[in-house]
Amino acid sequence: MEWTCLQSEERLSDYLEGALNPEEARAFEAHANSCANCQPMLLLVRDMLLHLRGLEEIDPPAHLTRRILDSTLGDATIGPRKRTAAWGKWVQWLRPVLRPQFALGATAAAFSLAVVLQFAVPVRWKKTVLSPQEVYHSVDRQTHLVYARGAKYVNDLRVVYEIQSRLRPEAPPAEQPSHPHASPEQKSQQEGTPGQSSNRTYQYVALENTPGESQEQWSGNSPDSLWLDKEGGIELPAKFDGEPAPGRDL
Amino acid sequence: MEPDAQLVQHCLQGDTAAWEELVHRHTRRVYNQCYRFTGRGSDAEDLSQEVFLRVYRTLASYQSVQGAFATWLTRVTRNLLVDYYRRTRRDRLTDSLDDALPYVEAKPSGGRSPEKLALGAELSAQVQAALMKLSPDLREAVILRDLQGLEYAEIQHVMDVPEGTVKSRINRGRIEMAKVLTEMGVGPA
Repeated sequence: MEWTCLQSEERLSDYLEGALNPEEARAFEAHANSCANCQPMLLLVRDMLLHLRGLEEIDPPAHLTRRILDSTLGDATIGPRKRTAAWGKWVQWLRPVLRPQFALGATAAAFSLAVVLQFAVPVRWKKTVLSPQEVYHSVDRQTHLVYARGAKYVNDLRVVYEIQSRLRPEAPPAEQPSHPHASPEQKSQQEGTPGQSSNRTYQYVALENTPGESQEQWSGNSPDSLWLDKEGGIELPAKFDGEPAPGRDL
Repeated sequence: MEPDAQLVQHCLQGDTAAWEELVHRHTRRVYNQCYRFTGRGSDAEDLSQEVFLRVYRTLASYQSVQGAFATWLTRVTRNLLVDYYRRTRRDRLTDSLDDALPYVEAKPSGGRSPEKLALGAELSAQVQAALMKLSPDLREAVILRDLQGLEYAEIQHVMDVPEGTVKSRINRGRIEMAKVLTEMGVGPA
């Protein structure tokens, strides 16, 4: 087992305290006996430890113990007593009350009182609340509100449907030119059926450009785009596409 | 002899005799730890009093499951020594041997000859001086291991560093001390 000077220095205390295993101890001794640096170091540290451990304990001054006891026991303000803050007295006074049985009963009583007060205290009814005119207006208001919310919901659904229909890929124009009046069968062939691999090309989304914006910016021809494939169209997830493009893992 | 943990419980119940017993048991150890680190008798005395004051005030925070009371006491002492070192760092320029070992002569001789006593005192002073030349982190590691006799796990708890760091500091401290003693001309034991 090889042993270096660095190891000798780092493991010196382990060797002196007998913490090295036999193989390591033999390697250490073999190195120290032949090394001009490590042998003196070993001897010097060994001698130092003998000196150090030969130091006898020093007797403390005779008055030190008395001084410590006077400073601790002699001061009534300090001591290993339990801390009782100013609010502690109040807690002690409330201690008989703060019991689980008492707390449960108090909670039940408070709840019962609250329920009784709901019916016991008379409520002033306004005359206008029950007038037919007020009732009619209230119902009318509620009806219009419900209608408006429903109409908004339907409109939102329509917008989503339009977006989905525009994003749906269409058949290549060379094979089957799409006609606005094409039959449903032709349209379904253009769209393709699940399970069939087709050469689909992704088309740009027909978006209205705002002034100053170019089509390239929307289509994402810039190399920094993370969402567009190499053809420049928008790559759709499989669940919208129905079938991943050939060679593409989704 | 009643265990320290039990004495602590009695202290918390207001037993002053238990507290006196704890002080008597641990004053010497605390004083030596402070003295070996500071190198000054007066500072060691003041620090020892501070240690026991803090322990007395925070005795309720000691939990026997955390370890021995002596280890907890050593940790409190070590924390105060760190504060002391930071407080006195600017004032400390040279280490003086004038204040070193003022109480060696008070210790019972045990039949030793005056020459041996003098040699012992001089050597002790040199070893203490070498100890003071170490950086504080190496010094405290060497004191805790070689003078206080703590185990590595205890030192780890006192210094709140990993055991590898403890071993490294002890090793480096010993090597440094050996170099310093050699430079001071201290021969083999």
